[in-house]
Amino acid sequence: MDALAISIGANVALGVVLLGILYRRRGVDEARLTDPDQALGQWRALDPRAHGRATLAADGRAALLELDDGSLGLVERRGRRWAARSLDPREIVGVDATDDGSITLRFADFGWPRACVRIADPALRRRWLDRLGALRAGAGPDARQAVRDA
Amino acid sequence: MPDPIYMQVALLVQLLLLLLIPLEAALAARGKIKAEYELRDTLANVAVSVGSVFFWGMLSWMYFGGVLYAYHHRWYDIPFTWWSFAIAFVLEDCRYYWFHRISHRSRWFWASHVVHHSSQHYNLSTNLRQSWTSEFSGLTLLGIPLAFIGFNPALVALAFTVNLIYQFWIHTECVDKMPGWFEWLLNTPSHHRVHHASNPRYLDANYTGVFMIWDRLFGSFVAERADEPPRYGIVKNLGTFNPVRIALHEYYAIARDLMRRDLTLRQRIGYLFGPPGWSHDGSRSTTAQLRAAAARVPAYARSAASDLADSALSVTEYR
Repeated sequence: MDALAISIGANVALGVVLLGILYRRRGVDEARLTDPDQALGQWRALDPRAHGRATLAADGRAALLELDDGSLGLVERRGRRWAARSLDPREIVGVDATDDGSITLRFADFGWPRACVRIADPALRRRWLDRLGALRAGAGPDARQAVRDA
Repeated sequence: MPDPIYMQVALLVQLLLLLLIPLEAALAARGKIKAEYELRDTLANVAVSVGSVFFWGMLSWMYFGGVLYAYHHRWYDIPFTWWSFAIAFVLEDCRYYWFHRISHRSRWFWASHVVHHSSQHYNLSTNLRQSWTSEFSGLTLLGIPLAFIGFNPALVALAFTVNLIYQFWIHTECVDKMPGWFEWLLNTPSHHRVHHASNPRYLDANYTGVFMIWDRLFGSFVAERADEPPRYGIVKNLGTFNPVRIALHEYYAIARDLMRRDLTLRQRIGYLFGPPGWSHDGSRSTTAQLRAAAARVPAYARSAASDLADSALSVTEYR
């Protein structure tokens, strides 16, 4: 039990020291999307042959993707890195618009519970809201096709 | 039983190694070495480590109980000496190789091990991001055969600890390549960067703890390429730095799959024990499928062919 307490104590002390070292550099060099190709480039880590169109978030922190195979994707900043995920209708549990022009997506995914994409252009935001809402409403293939055709 | 001083020394060494983490972070912040630390990622590593140590402390009786039971029914009496330690260390490394390989190839065990791979950074603090459920998964019972043979449980635990201590220094980008003989014989930062990468070429490779011979022998060795830097993390990266979510997310995903109503028993078993990425309807991709998809991209296929040539050369070189 002593070894357990020592190990946990050492970890906590280590966390404090690292906080001291890294705190000043928080947010420095955070990644930012400046170009739709950059977003597609990040997506190609999942699917090297993917092509499509990207809508960049106004703050460069995320992008929504419309891929040529009809599926939708999301690329979102994780500090200095990017994470990408397919927008599977079975995993989307909520799509909300907020006052600051953001679309908040909630996922049935314990490892990625929510994402936020700020789209400045109201018309574009409306289009994405409709599309994501329809995707969520109909998880079946027919509904997805209808969304694509819309 | 041998003097537990060995284990106390091992604990002390582990604590001292922790000091290298702030050293690497501080040197990296000043641009003196190649290493990338990010505040939230690093603090998540530390928080996951606290949980991991806690659950190890609470549940390690399952491992030690199994090992002691096996030792009670041992086949031989092997003394606690330097040579028995040397043999146990090599056998333990082989055990580690298979433990690690199974941890990557079957989703139930991957759910436990994925924690260690879930950071998109690779530095000494990545060592801290360890599973909370290694006892619960049952795979640590692979340690039992050594006790059955007759190796003292303290010797087995020491060999396991020394193996883990060795693996500490390889979690870094600040060491490029070691001398050729060293790279061939032992696990190195370069080999382990490959292991932590999610590039299709690098997936499911380099499982060894210490001796690279196991990967070379069992066909899982992949060399790091200068023209393809490792992209750290997992195929489907996490969207959170929350330590509880990091530690348990794959179990949640398994539960969601198992609770689907439209599956046969065989399909449920596939979701539980099949390779990560397996799905009954082909909607996800396993490592083999990801690699096959990447191979259809012309640039990748060309460099894969050159990989084959490289590996043939490496076999010739060291034969």
